[in-house]
Amino acid sequence: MSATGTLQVGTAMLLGDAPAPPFLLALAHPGLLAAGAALVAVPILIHLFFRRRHRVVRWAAMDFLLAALRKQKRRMQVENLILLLIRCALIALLALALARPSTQALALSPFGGARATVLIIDTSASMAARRTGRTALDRASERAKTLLGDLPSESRVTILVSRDDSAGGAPRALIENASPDEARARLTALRTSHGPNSLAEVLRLAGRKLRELSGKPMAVLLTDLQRRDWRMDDAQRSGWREDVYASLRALGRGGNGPPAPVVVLDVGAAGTGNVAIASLLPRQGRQAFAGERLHLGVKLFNFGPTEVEGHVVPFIGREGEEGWTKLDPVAVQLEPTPGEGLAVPTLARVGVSLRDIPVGAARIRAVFQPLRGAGDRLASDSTRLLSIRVRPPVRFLPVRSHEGALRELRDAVVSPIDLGEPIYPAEFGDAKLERYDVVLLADPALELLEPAAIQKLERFVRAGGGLLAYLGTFAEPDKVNELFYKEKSQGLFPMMLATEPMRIDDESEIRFVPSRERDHPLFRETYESVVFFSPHILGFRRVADEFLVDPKFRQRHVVATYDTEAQDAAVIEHRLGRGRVVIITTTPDERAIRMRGSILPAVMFFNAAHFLSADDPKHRNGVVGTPIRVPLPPGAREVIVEPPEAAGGRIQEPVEDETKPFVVHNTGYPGFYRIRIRGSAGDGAGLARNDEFLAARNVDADEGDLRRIDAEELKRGYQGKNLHFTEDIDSVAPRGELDDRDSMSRILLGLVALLLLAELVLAGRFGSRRRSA
Amino acid sequence: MAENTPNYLDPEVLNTIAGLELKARLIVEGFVSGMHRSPFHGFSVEFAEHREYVPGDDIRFVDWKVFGKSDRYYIKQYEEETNLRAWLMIDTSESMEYGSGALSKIEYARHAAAALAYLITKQQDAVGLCLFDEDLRDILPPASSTGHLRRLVKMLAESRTGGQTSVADSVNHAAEQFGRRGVVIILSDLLATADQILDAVRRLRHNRHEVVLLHILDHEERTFPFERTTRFEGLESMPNVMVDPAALRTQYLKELDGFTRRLKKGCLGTGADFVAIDTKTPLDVVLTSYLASRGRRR
Repeated sequence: MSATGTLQVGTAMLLGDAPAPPFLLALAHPGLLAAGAALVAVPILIHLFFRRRHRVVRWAAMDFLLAALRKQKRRMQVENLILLLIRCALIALLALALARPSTQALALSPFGGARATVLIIDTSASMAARRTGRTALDRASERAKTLLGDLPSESRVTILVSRDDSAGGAPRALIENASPDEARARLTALRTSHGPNSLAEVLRLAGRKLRELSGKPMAVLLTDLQRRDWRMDDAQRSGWREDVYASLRALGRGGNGPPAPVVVLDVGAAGTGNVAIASLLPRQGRQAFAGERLHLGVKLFNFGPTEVEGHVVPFIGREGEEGWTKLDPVAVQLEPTPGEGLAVPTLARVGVSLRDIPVGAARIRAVFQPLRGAGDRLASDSTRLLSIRVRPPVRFLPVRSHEGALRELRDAVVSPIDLGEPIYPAEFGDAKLERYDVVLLADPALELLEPAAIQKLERFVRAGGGLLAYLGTFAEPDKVNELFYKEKSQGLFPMMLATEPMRIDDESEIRFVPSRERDHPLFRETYESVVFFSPHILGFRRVADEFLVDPKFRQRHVVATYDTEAQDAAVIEHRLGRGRVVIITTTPDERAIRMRGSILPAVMFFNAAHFLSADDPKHRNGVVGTPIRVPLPPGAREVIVEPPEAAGGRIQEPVEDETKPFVVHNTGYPGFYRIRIRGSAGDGAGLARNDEFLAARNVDADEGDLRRIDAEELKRGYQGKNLHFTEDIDSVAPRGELDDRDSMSRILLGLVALLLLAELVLAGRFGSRRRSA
Repeated sequence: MAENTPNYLDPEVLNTIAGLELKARLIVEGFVSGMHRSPFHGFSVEFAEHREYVPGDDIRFVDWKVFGKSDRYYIKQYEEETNLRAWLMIDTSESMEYGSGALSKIEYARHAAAALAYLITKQQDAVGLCLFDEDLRDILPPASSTGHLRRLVKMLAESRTGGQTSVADSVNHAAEQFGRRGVVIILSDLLATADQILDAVRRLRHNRHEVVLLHILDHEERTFPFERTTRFEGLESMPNVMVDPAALRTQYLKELDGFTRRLKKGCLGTGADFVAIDTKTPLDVVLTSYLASRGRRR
């Protein structure tokens, strides 16, 4: 039992299979009650003991004894029974008093009155992970049914699921303001989703729903305690998720309503997951260009206690087609998890060449394969899938006045990219722009461009082409404004460059808004003239001081960060027609600094190219239908595959050749596939590893990290007033309004004293022997 | 005296009694005829003559009929007979074996019988012995010689217990052999029905015997002090029972008290003496106390 427990009368515990009637008492120290229950047997045992260890007397005056016995027999039986009951009750009540009971444990008591209950059920993908044949969602559903069965019938219930794929992954209500019976019926509609959830979001929703219900409020969250939901991945950061914490506290305080006890019920199952690939993500953006080299970061966790060596093997294949191309494996050595259970991630960098990959959808798979004899089990997710969009290479038409500018650009490019044959400004009029995607103005002498050439360029952009303008030392603001600027953002440049150097001393005027927040009011108002600045002050200063934006446009500008992690160059972005203009200003890139010994403009071409693409990159995780390959350990004789619950059924096949991987072809359902490998004769002989693991299909990368958070750690991190983390809801006695432990204990102790007195008196009456017993 | 008999003639016990007699000469005029007034003289004296009362005489012996006629006080004087016949009847049934202290009931009875025989012999009266259980087992006719006493003590010492108690049958059979009247002293735990015992007493009284019932019970039988659950195995073919003695104590004592009261009342009604003896009580105390009270009654 947990630190707390519940006494049920005449039934199994709440967690049992049989439906349990409402419980009566919740206990602060159930262990004491259990001990007391055991001690109740003591008087009986003493009685039996003394009967066994009786004395034998050869007796002469038997007539008197028999006569006395005849007259006293019935009375003695009654007296014995009375004393026995008193003594048993004495011990039981004393134990109960010490266990500090409450009759009002979370008001599931039939006497507790109607409850306004919000059940929050974690439906993230990890809830589909199976242990002992049942998913966490199965357990959550059962617990919810029992809990609803225990509620007083007049209670009102709302059931929330934490994530619903049909709702775009947002939480939603399964049923609202229903009776417990109606709510129970709806539990059959529970399904796991294919991604992670946001506990904070669903808890906030629970707070709102709770206020709509009448009755004493209560919120119950049934979850598998997946670590990612509660704790930051990066141990260097704050650790706990502040948003979850704040939502829990707010829910417990009741917001505008009465305080609501919040119970977090653990329905997960502790596993022995050892090595898992927690994430597989491209390091730059989530799309790739044909011919480039794609860099991937593979985050692995070794949750086991021993070091594991192996390889991350990348595979690449075309979406919708069979077959994979195996790429060069990367050796990794995974540190064991230290004693306190905190696994340290290992990041493996995998480079995937897209040189031979045609344009279109591709999929990448990373598999961790331990070295033979590494002596560790893979019990978690050791396969990751990633879908990427391989875009055709960008065709550039560089226009330069001097080789230096082009060299600066080329040197600053992250990955080798073919910039194409550069031309001089004078040649621009004859260029066939339809052959190119992007025109690159690499700090050209703009005065050499004819007005007709500028019009040609503008038509090119409006038709969907890209213009990348790199303004360097040749740029003259007057000439730029004349050629590129038109009012109302109708020109290639959305604003005029200042003719005098402008310094922005008061940076507080600059509003930094993440550019991903496209629905931010500032974006809506001034989208046609958005300035994206690097968050780095060096980049900002460079733009402000040297490339200047006319102050009259400043009020229209949104100074935003594009991507703080990618360290994008400072750019000015402008949409014109179907195309897009990006004005490259400067960059904080350290290589640029080193290259020239001073801060000079440079371009991160790779990222800039993204802006020139019409479509936003889309990220889709995992691919259903792709086979799962299971490397077999020596001695493997049989493989059992349990697909996600939605698929139903299971595969059980003998191993014909253990040197070849076992392939699970039927992976048409998203979720976790549990794979078990058995040794010969079912005795597991020769199997030291790989006897069980989970593979995932279409499961979010982070969601595949099935590590659970330690319940004690969770308590330390989140425990607060009216928050209860437990495996046993019956044990929960809400504080404040409901807690009657002290008075209950006092009443029980009073009863104990009364019984003790009665016992002494009656035992004295019935015979001194009883006193000594 | 035989070497194997001193246990039953405890010199200290007898010495105490003898000492008591010597020291209390003025109260009890002696056990032995000629020297002292016997405690058993009531049935062995003959009227001799009257003499005039002088202060200091026991007024119990004033002849009130003569006083009525002559208006003068005369004292009746008696002549002691020395041919008292006393029978010691010892119960040797199995139940007499019980004993929680130093002496079992049978041993206690043997001591008591020996002491009484010694006293009676010493006052030159005849004492006989009768051992019984379901029926008479051994009889030693009364005699008053020292050699007889020795035989009596030897017989006591060699007596064995066994069989069930049947006071009524034994007494009936014994009464046929006791002949002329005498003193019958029965030493027994009297574990039979009160009616049977009283019938036997009445039979003896009908034969003009003086009857003394010495009801010997062990201290545990009198107090029932057991605490722990006890399995009582019945002697004399009685059943076994497992009981919590504490719960039964009150009722047991009540039963015992009722039985004793009935016996006492019955004895009182027939002129027999009833003495309840606890084996924990020293023998000398019991005998001197009884003999002294008997002496006071005469």
